[in-house]
Amino acid sequence: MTPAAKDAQLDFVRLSAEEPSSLYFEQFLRDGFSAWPAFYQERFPGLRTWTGVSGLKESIRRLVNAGDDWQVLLASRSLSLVYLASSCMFRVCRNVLATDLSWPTYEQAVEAKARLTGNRITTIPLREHILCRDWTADDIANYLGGAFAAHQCDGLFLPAVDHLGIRLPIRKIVEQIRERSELRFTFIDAAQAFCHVPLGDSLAAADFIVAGSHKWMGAYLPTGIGLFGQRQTREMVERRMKGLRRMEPGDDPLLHFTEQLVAAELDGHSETANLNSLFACAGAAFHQLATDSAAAALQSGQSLAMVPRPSGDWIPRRPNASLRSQIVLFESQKSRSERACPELIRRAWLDSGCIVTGYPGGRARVSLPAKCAC
Amino acid sequence: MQLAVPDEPSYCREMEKSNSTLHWIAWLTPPLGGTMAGCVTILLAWMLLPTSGVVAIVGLLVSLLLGLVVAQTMRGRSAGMSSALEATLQLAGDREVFDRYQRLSDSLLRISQQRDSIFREIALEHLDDVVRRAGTVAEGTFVFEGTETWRIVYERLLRSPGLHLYRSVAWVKNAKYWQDEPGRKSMAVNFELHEGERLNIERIAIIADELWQDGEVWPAELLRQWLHEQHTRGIWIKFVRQSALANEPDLIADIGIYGSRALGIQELDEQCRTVRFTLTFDFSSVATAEERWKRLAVYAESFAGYLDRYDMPG
Repeated sequence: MTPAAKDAQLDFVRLSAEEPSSLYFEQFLRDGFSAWPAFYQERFPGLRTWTGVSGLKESIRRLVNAGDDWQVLLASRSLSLVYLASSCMFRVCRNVLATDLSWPTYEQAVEAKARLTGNRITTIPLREHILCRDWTADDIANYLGGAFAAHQCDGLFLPAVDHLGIRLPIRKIVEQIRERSELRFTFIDAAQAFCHVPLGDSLAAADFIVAGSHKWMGAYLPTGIGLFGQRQTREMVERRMKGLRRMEPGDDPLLHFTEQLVAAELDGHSETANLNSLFACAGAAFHQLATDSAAAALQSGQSLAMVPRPSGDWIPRRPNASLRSQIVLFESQKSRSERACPELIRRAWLDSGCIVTGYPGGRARVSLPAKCAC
Repeated sequence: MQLAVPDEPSYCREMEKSNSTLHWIAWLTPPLGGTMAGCVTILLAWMLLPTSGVVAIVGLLVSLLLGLVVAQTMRGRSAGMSSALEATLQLAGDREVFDRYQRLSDSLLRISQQRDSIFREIALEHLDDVVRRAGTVAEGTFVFEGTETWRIVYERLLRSPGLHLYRSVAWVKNAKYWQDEPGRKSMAVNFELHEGERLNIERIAIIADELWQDGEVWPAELLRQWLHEQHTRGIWIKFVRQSALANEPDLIADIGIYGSRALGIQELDEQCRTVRFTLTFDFSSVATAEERWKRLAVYAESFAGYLDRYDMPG
């Protein structure tokens, strides 16, 4: 959690305890810290990074270098936005190409929407090609371009960076597909890419991008972040978002509330929304803008040699240089029977001073921030 | 506007002609052979036997022929009776159709009891029409002429469970296309089902050149708005100038493909009123329409892609 996010969170908790029904709260929510009387500003300085819902959206646009015509959505969880994006995608797509790099939860949500709407997903295996055959960005783009045409797909669902650290060449893939086929909608999962790698490729190619605040952004508390703005699909997404019915799986009180707040259309009947994460998100955005961390993370990332490993049995399994990110996968060289379960892997690495995510089959994922926390 | 199913393709007609010749040859061979054999027998008798012998042979052949004719007639009558009985028994297995069959039979019986010659004449004409229409339905086709009531069937089809994809080709010859009350109601059904995620709808509009002048970026305003509204509601819209299809006239049609289940062909007059709507459940017609849809999609450009390249007017 970044210091600014922590300060914002602590002061919001204090505000809730000391001024539970402040008359200024709605104005503060909408217009930010500067709209508060000086008295409040002095008492809760940690909330100075809160610039209102519109201000937070503007900060996120600046973080990813998106134009003013891009819209930002804030939801209580990114899965809500995955439902929304899938719903938009299957308005126009009959067969969506995905890969085995998708985050399983998101993939299930997209698959469920495909089934519900009488459409389908074609999943292409990529991971083994990338990790075992040293495929390059060009290889992947060519392969997916061919697969898209061969399977008569018309939509695309890809992670910008997968959870094991493979960074996909989104722009190249989309260009290859467009050369041979009609691509109607591109949905990019940028949960692992946001504030980690530049999102220029995704912004150039995607109709909808889903990200979150709790990973590389450093807010710790989860806020779903959605971005859309391509001319060809913007109106359709806007309409779909406004038309989302309550009680749908993707229904999200925070998304409704923030949209109504910005449009000054609070209907007073919305479900109670938890606003906690917004202030941490604003603090983290402030911090990220101050440090420009996405570029910094890639340029000054820690060397692998600096990563403290539990033993020499752990060796990095890296993709081709054109596909690398600051997430590194380590693989145990022990025999299959000796490979520990994820929890034991995590403990072993923790003992050596490094927090990792363990995976079955003796794999550990290490994230290398600009300033390594290991 | 029998557009999606224009005159039958020439290869079909040729095949039909060739089949017909073969059929005639097969049908004529036994009688001709019999006649030839009879002639040869009489010729041999005339050369080898006395006159009384020839008379006896001719008499024998004539008797044989009479016997065959009587036997054939009796066989045909018995086959007809057996066939009618079989049909009744088969229909009895389908209660709904059997009910109609019984009611129709009752009506036919009452008609046959009428002795007035003019009544009979008119009744037979009406019955011929009923038979013709029943034949069309039996082939899987329904025809709605000069009425907008086809839209009830259209809506029933769109709302039917199991239908996930409706592909429509709109041949727009007039800016008022589907802008009248029945047309707007049908569009409302499209929007309701598509937005409710119950049905995926894709549409290709073939636009007459006078509504989309050469050199103009967008089609006529009313039409552009019609296309734009569908686009914003998530219907996948493509469009093409009619003149771009000059070399593929069979693609110019006003059709709807209901999944792989049925094909609707709409014919409109100049005022965009329905002249005829033909609905067929014939699978081969649906498959042919799907193939044409794919060819048409090659010529058409998506509204989304167009939006990416051009600004919309004011």
